[in-house]
Amino acid sequence: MNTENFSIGIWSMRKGRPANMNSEEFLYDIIKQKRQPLEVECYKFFEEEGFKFLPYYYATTIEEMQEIIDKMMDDRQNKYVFQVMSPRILHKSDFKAVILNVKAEEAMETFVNLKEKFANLGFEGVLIVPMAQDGVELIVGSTYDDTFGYITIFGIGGVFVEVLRDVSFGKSPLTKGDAKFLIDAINSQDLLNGPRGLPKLDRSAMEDFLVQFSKISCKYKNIIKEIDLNPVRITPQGIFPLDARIVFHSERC
Amino acid sequence: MYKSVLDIPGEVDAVVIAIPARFVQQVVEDCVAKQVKAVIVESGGFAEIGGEGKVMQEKLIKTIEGSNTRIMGPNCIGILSPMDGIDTIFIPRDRVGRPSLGPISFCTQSGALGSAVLDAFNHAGDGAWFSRFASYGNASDINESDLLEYFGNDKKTEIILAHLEGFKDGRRFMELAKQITPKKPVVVLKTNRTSLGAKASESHSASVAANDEVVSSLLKQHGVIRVNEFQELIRIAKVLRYQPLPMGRRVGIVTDGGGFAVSASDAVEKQGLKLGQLEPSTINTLKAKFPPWYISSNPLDLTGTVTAEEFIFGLEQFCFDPNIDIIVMIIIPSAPQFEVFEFLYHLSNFMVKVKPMHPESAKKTIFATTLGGEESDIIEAKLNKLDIPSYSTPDKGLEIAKYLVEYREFLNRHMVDEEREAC
Repeated sequence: MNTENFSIGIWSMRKGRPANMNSEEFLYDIIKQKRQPLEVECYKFFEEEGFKFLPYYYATTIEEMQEIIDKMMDDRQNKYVFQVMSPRILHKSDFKAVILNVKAEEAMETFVNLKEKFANLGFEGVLIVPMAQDGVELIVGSTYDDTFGYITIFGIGGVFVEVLRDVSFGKSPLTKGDAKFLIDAINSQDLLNGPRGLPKLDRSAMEDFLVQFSKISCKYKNIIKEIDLNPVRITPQGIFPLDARIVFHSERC
Repeated sequence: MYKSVLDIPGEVDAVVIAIPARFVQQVVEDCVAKQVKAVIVESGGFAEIGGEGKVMQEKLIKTIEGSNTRIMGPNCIGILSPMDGIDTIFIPRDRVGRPSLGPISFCTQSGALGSAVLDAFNHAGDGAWFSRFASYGNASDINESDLLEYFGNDKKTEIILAHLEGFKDGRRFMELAKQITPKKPVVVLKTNRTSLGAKASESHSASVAANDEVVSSLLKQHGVIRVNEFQELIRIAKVLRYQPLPMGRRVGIVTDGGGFAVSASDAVEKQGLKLGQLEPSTINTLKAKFPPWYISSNPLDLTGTVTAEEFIFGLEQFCFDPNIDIIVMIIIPSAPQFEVFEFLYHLSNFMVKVKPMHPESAKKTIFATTLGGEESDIIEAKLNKLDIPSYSTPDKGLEIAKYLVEYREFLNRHMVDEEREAC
């Protein structure tokens, strides 16, 4: 894949979503470019599907960054996570392409540094997300099983998903009853009940979230193979995915 | 004697083939020509040996393509349907007993496991056991989903047991299960757990989705009870036959052995069940009746001075208490004042005349463990007649109780759940 002169039709914050493109066309547009979607594109996709993220920004140029900083100044106490978006960077932390705890006054310097550093590594823009409040992290995922078709995954998320393996599975799409089963089936129920003063999981909201999530793979079954929302953070304001990844069927890319 | 199926005058419904593998092809061709509907190939030496056997099996399946002939097997031990007088199992009765007619139907991929289960049920005491048995071997044509569908629609089948080593059509199996489990319990012993390991993958989701854990979770999602070993198939069938499904997770323990009360309490916790909190009125009733050294709570410890009548009184009070769903009796008949026949007399009276009449006690699931010598055998024989399952240890019973509770929870979920959309 030649990524040197790669131009991506990302929905930027300023331009918004191309009016002539629905979600499916948007995914096909990425496929045409022979790549997997960037995280910011996954955010956009999930928003179209009715999921809520913490309010985030996306800056591709210094001008865009300046506009965002003006908004960031409204609440100077907030701190942000800056993440470089590039089709050549799959694991952002390996490339040190994630900067934590950025304040509004440090935003421009951070942006410029990242833009320069990753100029030759397919830099497309920076995704800017507020630092989330402490809370238990979950995983909500979907994968294609050769025997059973699409399955939805729920469990304790974060970077140690594969180590803890405290997850449950259900055939997609889930009913509300199935979603309840998936939540009840994991071992670490105490983590869902608000340990050490952390926010408690709203189980009914989680069920609705899982039901809605489980329909996506079925809806886009010709395109989507796997989805990770990991972590999904339990906050006092609700359940928010902090990271989103979509993997297309390999024959598509 | 006929040389070929084709020589038989009139229609032929079913053909059992039990000849060396290399001759099977010709007979199946004849069956197709004769328009036989059901062919049971009991012969081995097909796909299970790989290589040439696999090729021969593929050829068999090609032969029936487009015809009305269906094949069960190859490499199976046959079918049993006592009410129709059908028994094609090639192993003689003195080797594998045939259980008496009852509500259970069982399909099995492994013939050896199938014959062991038949023999074990036949040995498991009096009473009604099997309505249908099908060993489907290599599942070349008729597979686990076909049999599940058949048992699901079969009016004579009330309980479905299955042994699977793999799924020929996992999606169909789950969809069928979802239709059937709200009406009939389905118990699966799925072996062959080792998967090829987590596949290298780009997503966390795919890498944690190891095959066997997915199987377990999906079976539960669809209300199927998955057991872990062959003996559990028999243990669970004993409860499903006649005991009510537990309404919840709350266990009551009634015993004359304090030590066993403690170990059974451990097992309750290990299985994710809980000890029920008795109503204050129940505790008062128990205290009024029993000497002060009995521990009148849950577990109820009736100590070594127990009498048969006291044991039954305790059991009754637990049955009437609304905070108990499952009752475990641990009977140690060696207590000096415990008269076995008096116990059995009172127990039988209670089980037949009292328990079913009272709305609270009628809901309770009861099972027992009897620990002792000769008296144990006498008690167990009677328990069996009273449809109270007995297990060698309370732990084994509580494992089964957990399966039943999970099935109850599925039924509760299902009752209020919406229809699933297609994918």
